[in-house]
Amino acid sequence: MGLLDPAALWLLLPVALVLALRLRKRQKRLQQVSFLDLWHTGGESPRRRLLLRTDPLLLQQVLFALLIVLALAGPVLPTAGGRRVTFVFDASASMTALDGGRQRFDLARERAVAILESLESDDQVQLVLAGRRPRAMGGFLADRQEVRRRIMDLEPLESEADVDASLMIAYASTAGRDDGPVYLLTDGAANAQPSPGLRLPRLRFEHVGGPADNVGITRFSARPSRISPYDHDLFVEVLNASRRRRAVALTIRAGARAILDTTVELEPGQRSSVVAQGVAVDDEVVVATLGIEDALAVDNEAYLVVERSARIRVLLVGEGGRFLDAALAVDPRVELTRTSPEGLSRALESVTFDVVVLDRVGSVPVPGDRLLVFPSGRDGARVAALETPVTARDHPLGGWSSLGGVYAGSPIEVPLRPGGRALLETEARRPVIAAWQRGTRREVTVGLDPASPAWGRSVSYPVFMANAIRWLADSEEHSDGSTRAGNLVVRHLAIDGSGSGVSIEDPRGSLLTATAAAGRLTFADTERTGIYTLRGPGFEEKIAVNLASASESDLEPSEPPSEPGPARLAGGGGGAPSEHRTLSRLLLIAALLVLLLQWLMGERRGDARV
Amino acid sequence: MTELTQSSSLGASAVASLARLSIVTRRRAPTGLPGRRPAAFTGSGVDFADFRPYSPGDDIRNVDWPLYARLGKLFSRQYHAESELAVHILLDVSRSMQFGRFDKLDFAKRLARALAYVGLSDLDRVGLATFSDRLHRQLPPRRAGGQLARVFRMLEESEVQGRTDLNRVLRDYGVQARRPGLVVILSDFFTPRDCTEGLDYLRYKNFEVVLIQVLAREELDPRIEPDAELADAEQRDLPHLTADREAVRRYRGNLEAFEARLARSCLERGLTFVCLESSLGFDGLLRKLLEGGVWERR
Repeated sequence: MGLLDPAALWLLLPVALVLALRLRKRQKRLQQVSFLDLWHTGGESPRRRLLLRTDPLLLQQVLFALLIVLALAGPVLPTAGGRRVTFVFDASASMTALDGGRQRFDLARERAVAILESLESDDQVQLVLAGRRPRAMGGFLADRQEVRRRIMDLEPLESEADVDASLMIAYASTAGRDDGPVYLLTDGAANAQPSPGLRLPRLRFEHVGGPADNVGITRFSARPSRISPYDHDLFVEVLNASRRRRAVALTIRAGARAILDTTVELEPGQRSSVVAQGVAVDDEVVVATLGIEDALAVDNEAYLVVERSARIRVLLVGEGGRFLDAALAVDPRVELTRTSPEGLSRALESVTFDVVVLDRVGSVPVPGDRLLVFPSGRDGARVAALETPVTARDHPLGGWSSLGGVYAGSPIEVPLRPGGRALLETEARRPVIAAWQRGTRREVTVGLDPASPAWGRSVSYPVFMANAIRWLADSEEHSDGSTRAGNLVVRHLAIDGSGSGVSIEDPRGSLLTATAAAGRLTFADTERTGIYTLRGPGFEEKIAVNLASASESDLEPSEPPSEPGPARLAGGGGGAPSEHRTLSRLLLIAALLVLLLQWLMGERRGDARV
Repeated sequence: MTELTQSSSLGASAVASLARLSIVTRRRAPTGLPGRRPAAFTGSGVDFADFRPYSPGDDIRNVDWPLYARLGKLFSRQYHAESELAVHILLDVSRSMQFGRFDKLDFAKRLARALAYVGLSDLDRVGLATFSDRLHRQLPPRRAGGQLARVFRMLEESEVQGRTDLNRVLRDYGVQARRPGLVVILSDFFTPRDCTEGLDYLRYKNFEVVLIQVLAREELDPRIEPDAELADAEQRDLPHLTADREAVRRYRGNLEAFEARLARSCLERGLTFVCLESSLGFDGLLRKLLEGGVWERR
């Protein structure tokens, strides 16, 4: 039997203290008699009588406290014999590195099988795969053949590994049974070590592989060019994780078209960035390749999906003005069209606009779902000047500019719709700028005068406007063109309703199915590098996933911790596996029964006194 | 409450009452200086004992002349000699004697004073010894002037100490005492082993023994708090005992059996046994000891 939370036993200290105080109190009622022999009943130990017969109330209270403390400690009973052994496989990308022509993960599998053969026949084994998202591969099994089969089915991933979380899972699974070892099969790369603060008993490091030379791409991204709004600058970072100087050929291609072909010379441990400026790419997949054969292949190639620097069609309804026009022109992608409130319907007939700006035109019905609204003076009450406004900096619109102290006029209080956020408030918490989003619909309402020179001349004005246009045009997502392996991917899709099925094709051609809810798609199976293709009703989108991890590219093993201490896991290993039978509920019921008995005895005593 | 229990000396009225008393002895005194006690031998007493044929040298005043007239032979009358009695007062000063609202030891000391006074006023030799698990102080039996004061002083100076071991004490006293006589034991007789062994030894040494048991009211009718822990007054190394609801009832039964066993032992050996309560007044004490045959009116 074991305990899920042995720390709860510290509660026994106050119980013991109360008991000691009680016994001390009892000692104060000492009464002297001239001849104790006359009080004996013969044959019975006086001490035993003292505890067992004379004070049942105290015994019940002590029993109640013990039961409660034990229940809190969470005793568990295993239903089967034998130790519980856990194999934690480091499935990070570095485990795909070659050592003597064999993958490190293969070596780890072999080591695990060898250990498996040495275990007792009644030992039970569980496998944990340590990827970016650790997962327990089923429960504890005593069937050696099945365990061996599961080990052989394991595959390394192409992401980093969260070793701490994996060990947490391993220890939580064995909580209450602290007899079996936990084997961590790893190549000992820098990020495959448990954190020093985590004390783990019974942890056995099983190292596979050794030092190896590797050069890898650790970053690959695209940013809109500063020069041309339709071009991009491509950034490639290369790391030489070998012990010698290397000269490596670097090629960047968009389809069959070569963008860059160069040689990068790197000292040992050096990182070098290569920039390809002003590259014209149009919704293409860009691939950066290192011309080298080294231990780790997965970081020799990196991918990028560079979206076209699409124009943002903005319809300005109203007069506009010098400051507003200049601010809207800050983003070179903005293509501005002007109209009056009367000509709005005609303007919308011919062109679909990404953002509609309503400049003090009152309540105008607009069919678009991305609106930037400047209400007129009639649309809201004037509030006091903003001396020390409150800004929501955690919002994409609030984090880039400070609007405090730059506006001296009388702003208008804007309505805050349900689900909306106040981005700028007066000291009295009256919203002046509000942002609202529901599904694909977004709206920003600004109670400041866009024609006011006090705001128009400040730096915050064009920055805020550019941010607002970008957020409304939804162009802030995956702006660098790729994501890291294992990262959660969230996409806002232009599809209606919820439960719409979206298929995802991973780099190996396997189809994954995900569900988009309220126009939002979330998926996390991105532990393979390459291009993922999202397909849904009427759209197709590609997502590039790269390893992009210097710690994985660096195959130099590090020393394991020498003295693992006793386990202290957060949450007390609350995730007890189903194979354990917890006794907490039973103990709590027993405690309640004791309480009931105590009450009944109290009642009886009360009756006897009457 | 009378003077007997209120002061360390005897009051005038108590003295007057005690002066008319005499300690009862069932045996004739074997030898000693002349006194008021019938001696085991014949001598110059007043109580007729026997006739014996006249021998030359006999006191001519003892010749029974009427008998000579009838029988024509000379016979001398013999009389019981009167001798003194040695009264040995053994006072228990063990820790259990310091118990009760009316302290048992105080009561026993006053009783010892009364007995000493009665004895000395009846021309007996009176001695005193204090004991617990051994003999502490001893005052050999004397009749000389000042003995009463010495007895009183020794009683004043006696302090409680130790635990009771009656068998050892009685045996030691029997060995040391030079003159047999009457031993009066003032004690609660609360000893783990019964004292028959010591009593038998005293009897063997030709002592006559009187046992006066002194008990406090709290011992006869104990009041115990619920769940109180009981500790032995003498044997402090004994583990404490917690009283339950049945404890008092059980104690009364045990005490009754203890008293009956002690009384039976005395009866079997022809010893005098009296049990007194320490809250007893002087009149009650006089009556109880008269009824118990410890003393008698002269």
